[in-house]
Formats: sequence, C-alpha cells, structure tokens
Amino acid sequence: MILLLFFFFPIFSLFIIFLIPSRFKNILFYFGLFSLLFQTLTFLYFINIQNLPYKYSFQWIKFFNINFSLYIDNLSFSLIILNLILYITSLIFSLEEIEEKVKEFLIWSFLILIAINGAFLSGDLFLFYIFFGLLPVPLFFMIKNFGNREIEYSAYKFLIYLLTGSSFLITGILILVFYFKNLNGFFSFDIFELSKISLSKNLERIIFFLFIFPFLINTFIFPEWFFKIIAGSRAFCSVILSGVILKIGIYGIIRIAFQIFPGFSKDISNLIIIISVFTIIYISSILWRQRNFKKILAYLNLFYMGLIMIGIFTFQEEGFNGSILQLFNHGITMGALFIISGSMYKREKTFEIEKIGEIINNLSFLRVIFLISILSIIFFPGLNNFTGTFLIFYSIFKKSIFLFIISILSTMSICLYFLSFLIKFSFRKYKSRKIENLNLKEIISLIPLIFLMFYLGIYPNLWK
Amino acid sequence: MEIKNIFLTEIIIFSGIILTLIFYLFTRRIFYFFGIIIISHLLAVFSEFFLLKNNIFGNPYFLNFSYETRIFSLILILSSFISILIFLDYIKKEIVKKEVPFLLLNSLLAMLLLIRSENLFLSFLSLEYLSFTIYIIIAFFKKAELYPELILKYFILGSFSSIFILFGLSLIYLNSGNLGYAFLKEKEVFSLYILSILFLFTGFAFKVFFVPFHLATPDIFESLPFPVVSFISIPTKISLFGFLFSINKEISFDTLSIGIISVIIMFSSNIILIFEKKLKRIFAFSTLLHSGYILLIFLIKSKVLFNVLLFCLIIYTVSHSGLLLSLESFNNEEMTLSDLKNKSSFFLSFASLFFLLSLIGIPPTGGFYAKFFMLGFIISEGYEIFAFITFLNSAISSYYYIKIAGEMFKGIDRINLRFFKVFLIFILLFFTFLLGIYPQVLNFLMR
Repeated sequence: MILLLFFFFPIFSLFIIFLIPSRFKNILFYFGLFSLLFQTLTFLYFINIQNLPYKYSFQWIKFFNINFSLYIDNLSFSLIILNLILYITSLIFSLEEIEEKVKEFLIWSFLILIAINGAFLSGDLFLFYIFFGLLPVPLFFMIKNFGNREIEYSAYKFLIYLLTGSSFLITGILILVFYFKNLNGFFSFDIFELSKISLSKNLERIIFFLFIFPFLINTFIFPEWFFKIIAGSRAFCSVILSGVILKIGIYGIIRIAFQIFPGFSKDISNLIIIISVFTIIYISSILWRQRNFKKILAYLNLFYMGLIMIGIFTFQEEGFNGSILQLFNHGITMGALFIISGSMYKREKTFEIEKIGEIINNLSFLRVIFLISILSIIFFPGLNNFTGTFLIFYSIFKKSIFLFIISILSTMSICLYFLSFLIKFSFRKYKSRKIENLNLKEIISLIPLIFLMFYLGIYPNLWK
Repeated sequence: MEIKNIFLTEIIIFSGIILTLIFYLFTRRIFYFFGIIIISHLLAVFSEFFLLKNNIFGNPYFLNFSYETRIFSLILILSSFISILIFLDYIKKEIVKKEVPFLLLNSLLAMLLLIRSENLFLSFLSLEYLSFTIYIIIAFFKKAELYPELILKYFILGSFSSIFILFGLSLIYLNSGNLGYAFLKEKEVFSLYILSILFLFTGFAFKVFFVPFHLATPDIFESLPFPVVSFISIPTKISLFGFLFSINKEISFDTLSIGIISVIIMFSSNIILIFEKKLKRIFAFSTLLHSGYILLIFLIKSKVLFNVLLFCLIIYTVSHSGLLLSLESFNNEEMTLSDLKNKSSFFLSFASLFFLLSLIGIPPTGGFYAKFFMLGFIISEGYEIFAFITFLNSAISSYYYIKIAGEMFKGIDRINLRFFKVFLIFILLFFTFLLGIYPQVLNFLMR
C-alpha cells in the first residue's frame, strides 16, 4: 500500500504544480522541494530494509492479463533513494540557476521523476515499458528548452536514439508475450512467469537482442549524444542524466534481461565485457586531450559505466555486488562534480579547465570540496568509490588476468590524468582576484553529497 | 410508439438535407443551416445508439445493417460532428458559403452508404456521390491564388479514376455475373480477376488520397481552411476502412500485398514528412501515415480484427481531431512550423504535445495502446517483421511530431482561448488519456 502511495504522490504533486499560476516562482520551487523531501522521508520511514522485497499488485487490463504490480527490492530501493537525493540537491542548486520558465522546468522534472520512479518500481513488463517509453520525451524537452543553443540538434538525436531503442524493446516484449500465449494459452506480462518459456535457439537470440539493445543504448553504446548533451545542458539535467538515466539501462539488464534469459546472458557476457573494456581503453586515452571540464566528466561517466558493466557480466558475486554499490556511488560523485561545475559556470560562463583553476584558487571552500570529489573519482581509499571498484577488479582478476591488466592500466591512466590535473590547476599560484563566494543554496546542495562520500567510504554496506 | 425502422439514421440525415434545401428559400443566415446540421448529427448519433441497443439489424436493398457497420457509422458521425464544431468558429470570418452545410450533410450520407453497401456497384455510386460533394467543397474554399488549376486538375483526374473503377467493375461482372461482395469469391478467370482488382484499387486509392496517388493531396490540403481539412481527412478515412472491412469479411485480402502496400505508405509519407514545413501538409501526410498503420490490421485473420480496427479508428479520430483543434487555435491560416513560435499558450502546448505523443505511440496515451493491441495480434499471426517496421516508423515519426510541440514551447505572446474550444480539447484529451491507461472502457463496444 505504501508503494501505491509512493507511486501516486509525484503524479499528485504534478497536478498541483499545473494548478499553481506561473508567476509565483518561489512558491512553485518550494512546493517541488517540499514534495521531494516528503517523498524521501516517507520512503525512508515506512520501508524497512530487512523486510524487502515488497510487492503490491491488482488486475489492470483484463484482456491481456496485465497486472498493475509494484515491486521493490534492495537494488531498486537504493536506486530510488539515489534518484531522490540527486533530485533534491540539484533542485536546490537550480533555485539560483533557472530564472524564467520555472513552471515548465518543474513540470518536466516531475514528469522525469514519475517515469524514473515508475520504471524502478514496476514489477511487470508492461508497466516497465510504459515508463521506459515515456522517459525520453520529458527529458528531451528538459534538455532542449533549458540548455545551450547548440544543443537542439543533439537533443533530437537523443530522442530518436532512445525511441528507436524502445521500439526494439516493445517489439521484443510483444513477440515474447504472444509466443508465450501460443504455447501456454494465456497472456502473461509477469517477468518470473515469462522466464519459464522455452524457445528455439534462434528465436531466443533475436528476442534477447531486441531486449538488450535498448538498455545498451541507454547505457554506453552510441554515446555521442551523451557527450554533447552533457556539455551543453544545465547542472540539473546533467546530474539526472548521468546519475540516474544511465542506470535505468543497467537496471533493465539486471532485472529483465537476466531474469528472462539467464542462459543466454551468460553466453553473450564475453562480448559485452570486450565492448566494455574497449570503452574503458578508448576513454582513458581520449581524456588527455580534453579542454572542456564538463566533457571530461561526460567521458568519465562512460568509463564508470564500462567498469560497472564488466562487474555485472563477469557473473561473480563480488563483481555483481561491487557494481551495485558503484551504481550508487557513481551517482553521488558525479552529482557533486556537476553541481560544482555548474557553480563555476555561473561565475565565469565557461567550462575551460584553465579558468577552473583560477576559480578554485580564489574560493577556499569550493577548493576543498573540489579536492574531495576529485579524490573520490580516482578511487581514493576512505572515499566512496573505493570499495565497489575494488570488488569489480577482484572479479575481473578471477575471470582473466589479461583483462585485469588492461583495465587496471587504463584506470591508472585516468588516475594519473586527474592527479596531474590537480597539480596543474589546483596547486598553482594564480593571481588573486575577487570572485563571488558560494552562496547558501550551493553549500546546502553540496554538503549532503560530500557527507555521503565519506559515509559510504567508511561504512559501505549501507543497504546491506 | 415503437420505432422499428432500420433506416432511421439515414432518414434523419436525409430529412436534414431536405430541410436545408427548404430553408434556402426563406433565409440567408448561415447560422440556421449549421443549427440544422448539428441537430441532425446529434439525432443521428442517438438513433444509431437506439438501433444498436434494440438489435435492429438486417440487410435490405444490398445494404448491410450489421453490428459492425452500425459501430463504424457511429464513429463516422461523431468524427464528422467534431469537424463541424470546428466550422462554427469560421462562420464569423465569412469564408463559409451558405451552400456548405448542405454539401457536408450530403457527403456524410454518402460515407454512411459507403460503409453500409454490400454491393460493388452501390459502393461505386456512393463513392462517386462522396467525391462529387468533396470536389464542390474544395472548390468553395480553396484560395485561387495558391494553385489556380488545382481543383480542375483534381476533378479531371478523379473522373478518370471513376472510369477505372467502372471498367474494373465491368470485368468483375463479366466474370461472376453479380457485383455483390459475396460473389467475388468465384474467381474463374484468374488473370481477368487480377486486372479488375488492379483497376479497382487504382480508382479507389485516388479517391481516398492513398499511396501511390497521394501526391496531389498536400497541395489541396494546403489551400483549405482547417475545418475542411479535418472533414475531408478524418471521416473519409473511417468510411474507407469500414468499406474495406465489409469486403474483407467476404474475400480476405492477400496478406503479402497488404503488408507491402502499407510499408510503402509508411516509408513514403515518413520521408516526405521529415522535410515538410507547412502544418497543413504535415497533417495531410500524417493521416496518410496512420492509414498505412491501420491498413496493416487486415493482416489479422481472426475475429479480433473488428475490435482492433474499432479501437485504432477511435484513437485515430480522437488524436487527429485534437491535434487539429489545437493547431487551429493558434489562429493562423497559412502556418509553417516556425510560425508557431509567435504565439503561446501553456494549455495548448501541453494538449497538443499529448495528442502528438498519442500519434507517435508513446505511453501512456491511447495511441500507444492502439499500436500495442494491433501489432500484438499481427505478431501472433506470424508477421513479426511488419510489426518491427511499424515501430521503427513510429520512432522516425517522432522527429517531426515532437518538432511541432518543441516549437510551441518557445512562444511568448499569449493566446486568449474561447471556453468552448478549451472544453472540446479537454474532452478529447481526457479520452486520449483514458484509453491509454484504462482501455477496457471500450469493452462494451467490442465483440
């Protein structure tokens, strides 16, 4: 029942936002913030981690035997919490950044929230598809209406990529369900029931491809749109895109593709690992030539996704746990870094790394936070990313030493890059000049993320 | 008093026609004529419901009054009613001549007959009746400066296509000695049969703006005001599919050719749509694209065909007329995409976004469920490839559909909307949303 409440609360708040006239900007913002805080607190208060998974379902569309079934376990719980934390912090930051079209901004962001929560909460294939298919549209408008001028082209590219992906997925779902009906005589959209189906090898291959392709598009295949969009969009959009949207693909792979085709996923695992390793090598080599800080962060996202995919597809317990831990940690670190880059952009209107050194040298508080987040990126022990990545590398080592050497070398290249980055820009003497200090909203939005970095570094088994 | 007249709906519409003719003697105010056609539409809807409820079916005089045709004609009358409501705004602008209501009612009667006919000759006659009224409507409204020779060209080509149909009919008559749909099964002389089907297809496709005879349509649509665009694009397609449905009941179509034709329709209209800038042309090709999707339904050979067709036609009607209403509310007749930027309205932008999402087939709109429903059964017949192509096409179509909504959100100046229009859009929005999240509401119509 609490799941139903949690599911419908954002929709309810969206309706209220629709009703508030657009001239009350502050009321709109604070209402959105209040609604998010309320959701987070109720969620944390009512859901007991020991009692997971929770289930709730009733019959929805009788003809196709579709159930409105909500399902939550540890994985989706942690991702929803991550989503809410990132939403709250980045919304506090956007209070400053967004000046006009506030109502539109809130409507798109709540639509994205509904889609993300729905995708993570759904225990039914049909329900999952509804939110997975809905997601690109509000995101597209968020990117296009609140980004740079150059971003429009890549926003359309993004939309077409993701909608093509979801058209693959829906074809796969329909083929699977109707074959299931021909074999068993009744429809079913339940993931656990569909996993019992026995198909011919060829058909299974086709359906598996149709299922996994959209999730890979969402994650790290064809990443060109991702770089451009991250480089040109506002902080809020970048935080949500890198923190949560990338993870919906991985969530789909774990929850749907692995459940329905357990054997076939193992067959294909080597291919995915090779693609991921290539991604890692590519990014670690390309990073050295970048001048744009936001683009660096975008490339880094892909690097992390590659590591996580390797961890999942080694099919070992350590790698899997490490990846799930990393799904959370990566979001926290990236959120902090994107908010920092947003506040830098507010002051100097640029993302060039030369300018960034000048800014952080003049603002002592920002400098500390920047240092902590950079250390978190390079897997510094005691900060959040260390444990998960350690587990992932352990599983790669168990799988193959050759892959381990390659991936550790490219990771070292990344670490070296960031260390030299720190030396070049952060510890150099710049001319001191007056730059506007961080205001309260920026500090409030950054503090919880920094706190979580330390907390997860010291005590990583947060959700068991 | 118990009414058991099977022709009740037709009688109502016919008496509406006669009444308008009589009124022309006494008054010149166009307001009265529109009053008559609105009342006759409403009465027709009620009578159709009444006849459905009392199970008054039958087939006298080569006409088929079955459950299915009654349902189709119900959708047809409702869609025509929506377009006539759009007309109301245009009365004040004095571009509507007083003969128009008469013609509108006539074409409605023709479409009803087309759905109900059980004989090829009767359907030919009603198609001629329909196209003749449509020629005159187009001629009344079109702007002479845009394409001066257009209507003449269209008329002459239309007459040619009637000749094609007539020749095909005579070939069939030569073969079977009867033109009833039920007699089409006996194909003794096969080559002759193929030839006649080709002739028939050519003629019919031209009359209802179908691929590959569609290239004149965007020019025609561009030169017409919005309500006329709505009238000749939405109800005509419904009547066409009703007609195809009743033929399909007797002789099932060749599945491969149906699939290929609809794939050609989808790709050709999609490719043109990507580069199109004028909104009315976009609308014209969009109806064409959707008729391509709906044509695929005839691949289904089981009894579900009727339910799927019904659902898709309802969604088609609701979302297209909703889109047209919200585009029309921008109050600019010759609109290109970039003109949408000049005005803005929060409600209109979101409403049209929702209709556009329904046209693309993105959940949670009715359009998604229609595609899901239809392509699921197509897959269960074993045509996975067509389903895949359809989904790909809807992904491509998202580009220009979303572009329309994207331009709308840029606007600055506010539009003052009339309450009546907001109400109408709101009802259509509600239906699109309801059919998307709870499609069982239509169960009472299904068989």
